[in-house]
Amino acid sequence: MRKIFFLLSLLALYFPVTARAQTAVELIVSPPIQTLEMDQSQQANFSVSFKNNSSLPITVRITANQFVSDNQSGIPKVDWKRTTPLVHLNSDTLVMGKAFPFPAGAKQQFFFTATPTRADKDFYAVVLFETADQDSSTTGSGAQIQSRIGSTILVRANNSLVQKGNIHTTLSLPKIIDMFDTAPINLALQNDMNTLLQVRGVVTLKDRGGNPLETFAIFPDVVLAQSSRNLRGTKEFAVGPLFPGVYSIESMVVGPTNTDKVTETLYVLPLRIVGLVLALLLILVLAQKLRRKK
Amino acid sequence: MKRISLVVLVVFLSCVPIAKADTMTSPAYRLIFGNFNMTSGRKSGATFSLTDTVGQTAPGQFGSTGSIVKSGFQYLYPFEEFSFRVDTLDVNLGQLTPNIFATATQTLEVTSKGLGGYSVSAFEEHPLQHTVTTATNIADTLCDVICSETLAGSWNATSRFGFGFNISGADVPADFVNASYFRQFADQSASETPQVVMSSTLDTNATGVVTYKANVSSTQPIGTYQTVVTYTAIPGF
Repeated sequence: MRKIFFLLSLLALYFPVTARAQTAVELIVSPPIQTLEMDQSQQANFSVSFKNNSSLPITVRITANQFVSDNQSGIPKVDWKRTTPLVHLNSDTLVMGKAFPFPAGAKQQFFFTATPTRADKDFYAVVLFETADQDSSTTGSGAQIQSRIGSTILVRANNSLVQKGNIHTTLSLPKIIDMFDTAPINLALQNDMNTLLQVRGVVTLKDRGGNPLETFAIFPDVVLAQSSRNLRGTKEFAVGPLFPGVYSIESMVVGPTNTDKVTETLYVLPLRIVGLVLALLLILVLAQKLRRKK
Repeated sequence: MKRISLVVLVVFLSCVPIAKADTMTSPAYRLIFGNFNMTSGRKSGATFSLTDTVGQTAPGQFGSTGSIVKSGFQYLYPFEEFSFRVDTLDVNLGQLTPNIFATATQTLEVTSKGLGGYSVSAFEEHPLQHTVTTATNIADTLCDVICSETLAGSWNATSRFGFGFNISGADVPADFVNASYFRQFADQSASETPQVVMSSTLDTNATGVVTYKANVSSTQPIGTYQTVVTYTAIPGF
């Protein structure tokens, strides 16, 4: 009997249970992001899976808000002031904005319809699952916490429409660098079209003769309609160290209506070596002057 | 020998994994999860995470008349999850004593996998409000000199009263210079816009530790003061 007990306790040690605070709440959505495309006068259905990955039953409220680009990176700038009527929850029992109980550990798939107001205009929304009106057990002063998690929806205007507008890139980097330094390359893209763009293109470092020395593929980031974004490379956008000389950096981004090509010149100089030599010469001159004085 | 071969064959057949793939259809679209390909997966570097697929049959777009839902590799991983965890739903500052800072901490955790990072924003329903006399509140802090919902400031002087928060972690705004820098929460009752308190453009498992702080003067009416703070985690694109 003792042996069995001993074996059971050993087994228990092999399967430790993670201790968590009772009030912790973990929300999970899947997928984090999805893109919908539709023809004119059409709706698109999509689904989002939501899980209450905690030991507490919660009350959930589903809402949807539109967002725009922050013009820097792919972080949505949400319009918090009002919910969007363009996303509908497809359910006989649940209503957008109305709270409903959701058990601990439960997972459910929710179905939605996206209805754009204009067939030729993108819209971008985030579907939010919010813990609503939890019972507070706080006895002193403090704050009751609510958490919301979102799933991002990019609704793309009809791709078969003739695209209007162009793309423009801005390439910026230091004009002069030391031969031992690394120059960061900043590439920003402005998308003037009415629909989002998935970026394609390359950045090439060339020598004075125009021979390519290094090529950077541009990461296929999404640039929302009528917005800009700093682009990323599939490897770090930076050049150097390089031998002294004149180099050119060329970016070429391909859009549906135009290909934007920008070239910048980079001068690589032995600045540190020249500085060191000058400093040594100065020290020698000063040393000679001191000797003459003595 | 034959028997052994037979047993081996039976064991082998019983261990063959079952191939699973889901197909969802509706009048408006057809969404297929799962694909056949030669190679696929994630490539990552210091500043990015890239996915690829070689030889995938009909990658990316699936649809019928009317609309297309883009899934599959390159666009997104349909099975990826985005998670947000708060370690408590009640932040208790306890009994507030005049001219003595009351603090409480909370941890926020985000797991972001997909195209590009995440953001967490925060707002309060209203400043700390007396639970009985709702017109009485503890104002949002102005820190030692100045701070707001968009800019943190140093707050060490116990002669400065109010309610604010600090957040620490890898993905927090740069104005939270150290643990003594505090901001106000964006006040929804004053129509202030929720402010980003954590963000990254990378796939990440990030943690932020929020420190709530309150300090009251000796003239502050006795009572319990409460507010509701909402954190919103959103995936990037």
